[in-house]
Amino acid sequence: MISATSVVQSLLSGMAEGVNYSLYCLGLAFVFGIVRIINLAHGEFLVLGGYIAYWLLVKWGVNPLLALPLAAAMAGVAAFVSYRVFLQRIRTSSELNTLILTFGLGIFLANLYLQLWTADIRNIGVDWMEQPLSFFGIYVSVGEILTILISLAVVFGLYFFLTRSRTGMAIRVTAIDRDAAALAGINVERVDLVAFTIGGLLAGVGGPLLGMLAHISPGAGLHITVKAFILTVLAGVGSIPGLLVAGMILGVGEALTVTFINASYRELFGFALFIAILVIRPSGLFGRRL
Amino acid sequence: MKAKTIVALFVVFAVAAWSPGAWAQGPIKLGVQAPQTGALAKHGQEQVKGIRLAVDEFQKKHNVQVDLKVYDDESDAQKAAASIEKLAGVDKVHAVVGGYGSHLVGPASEAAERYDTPYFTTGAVDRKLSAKKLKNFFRLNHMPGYAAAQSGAIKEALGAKKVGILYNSLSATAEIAQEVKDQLTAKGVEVPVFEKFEKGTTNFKPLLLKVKDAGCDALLVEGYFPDYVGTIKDAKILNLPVKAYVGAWGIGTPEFVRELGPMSEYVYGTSIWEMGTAPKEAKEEEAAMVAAYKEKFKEEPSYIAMLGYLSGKYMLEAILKGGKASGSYSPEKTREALRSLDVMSPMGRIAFDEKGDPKYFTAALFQTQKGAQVVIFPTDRKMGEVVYPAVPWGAK
Repeated sequence: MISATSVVQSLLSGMAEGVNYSLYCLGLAFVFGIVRIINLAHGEFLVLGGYIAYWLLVKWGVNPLLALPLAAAMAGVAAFVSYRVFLQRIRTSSELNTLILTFGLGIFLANLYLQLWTADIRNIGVDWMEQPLSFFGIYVSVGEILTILISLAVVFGLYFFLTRSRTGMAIRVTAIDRDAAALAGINVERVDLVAFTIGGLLAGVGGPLLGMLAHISPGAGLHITVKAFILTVLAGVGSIPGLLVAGMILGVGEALTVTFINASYRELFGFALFIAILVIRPSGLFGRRL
Repeated sequence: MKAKTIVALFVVFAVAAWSPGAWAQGPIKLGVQAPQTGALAKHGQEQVKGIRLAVDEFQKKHNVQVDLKVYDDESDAQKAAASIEKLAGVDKVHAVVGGYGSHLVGPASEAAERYDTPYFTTGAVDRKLSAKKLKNFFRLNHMPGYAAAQSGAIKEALGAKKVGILYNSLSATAEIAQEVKDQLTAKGVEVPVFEKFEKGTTNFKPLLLKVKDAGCDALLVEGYFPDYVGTIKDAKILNLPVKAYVGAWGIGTPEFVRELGPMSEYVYGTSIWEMGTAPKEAKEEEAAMVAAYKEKFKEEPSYIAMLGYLSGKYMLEAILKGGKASGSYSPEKTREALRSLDVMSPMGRIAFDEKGDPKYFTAALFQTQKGAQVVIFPTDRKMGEVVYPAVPWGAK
């Protein structure tokens, strides 16, 4: 018999997971919406951020939250270099080429991490952040609260960047009509580079949080990329706040599937939702141009 | 006269060439298929280290060169089979050792059978693998030994009445979960929660809440390293009120303790070997292996490394023994040598049945206490007292 407290706890855990999903997929959705590249190396950029935070913690005892800016910067640099060295050269050819290239880049990075940091699974553990707090029989950890706040801050920060800053507006214009943006004097090539780098930065922020809530390993990126892609389709290309809602639908749906049906249907729920949205509303739940 | 001399010399050379000793002293080609990248890389790398140590020792002991070929199956079933095809079909190895994960070993062992190449694994426990009765298939460990250690300890050492079992949907973990559940039920222990989860699950709370609501005494997670990390972290947040946390395999290793720190304390896990658990007849071999391993790799060997070492050692001995008897390294003679094996090793007595399964394999259940693995079951291998109730997150 499932207790009411357990249902509420499960619901809460799904919401928390959903917010984190939103953060994990933000970079992929952003790059896809602006540059029209499905970055299959997105998960590997995220994992890089996780490793940066892990080593800062292990070597110098730096709190992973303080490591967030450096983790994001390193992942941003990796994205910048990847774009300049590889992607920029094939941007004018078929979109399929960028898909294949980023897939290959993801494999390369995963194997590079394996060589650099071995196959060991790494846990970013900070004792005080793992301590549970209880509210009327509902438990939540300090780390979970912080990661939710960070995820929300990053999602809304990006939203305000795109709607309030000049660079953000230039990015939006380029996403809406590339030719018109170029005619208006916007350097669209530079916008692509900036957007891809921001995508890497956003992924890098997710890495330390993933390491705190779960774990990181060289091969963890692919699973993140798949999840991020599902969420991007669910939310609809270009809808940043929509990602939050879509993330929560996915997270809560998965949690309640486990609670009321069975854990073996959890993944099925996500993919069923993905297919249903593709059939019923191909533009996604909140699909609109930026 | 000249013609007679030439014929005589020819006969001498021919006899010498075909004598058993001459053939048997050629290099032994040993193939290794193991995950060096991908999800199972950690285990595969440890396995290969053990095999390399066995090769070094064999070469020194017998003065026979071993040509070792290691192929990475990338934790992928198709690539596992392709590795065997290359090892057996192109490199013409005399035998293959390695293989980790039943879903990889299945296709790999079938490929080895097609090439009539002996295949000796230490990382696949699924019952279905030996049920195929492949003549070239051998393994050091299998499912019933692991399940018996878990169910026996839960009933006898912990005295738990209700157990919640959560298991990864992969074949080996799904099978051991069912096996343990059946054994526990037969012993009169209730299993009110028996749930499967998919690989890659990060939110375990809804599952753990079922364990909580069912009032289970012990939580049994049949999974792998990431699953243990996820369940322990979430159990801590929920302050899950169970008295024991038991994992299947790959838990409580030095890496596990290093990564989880205090959160690794009091977990239970099955192991085939821990330093000091060798039977008295094999204590010397255990000490020598550990010393050589530490010297070569600058780290302590895990039980997976020990398994790799033993598989490499016994396979090479079998190839050599078969070669000496027949005059060539033949698969048939190697199989015969393996089937006639009956030795006491650091992990206990080793001999194979007609399906290639180990006849005497038993696992032990340990509890992590102050970072060390203390065997608490079975009683004849016990190294210390169980701390119960106790879980890493400190719940009652």
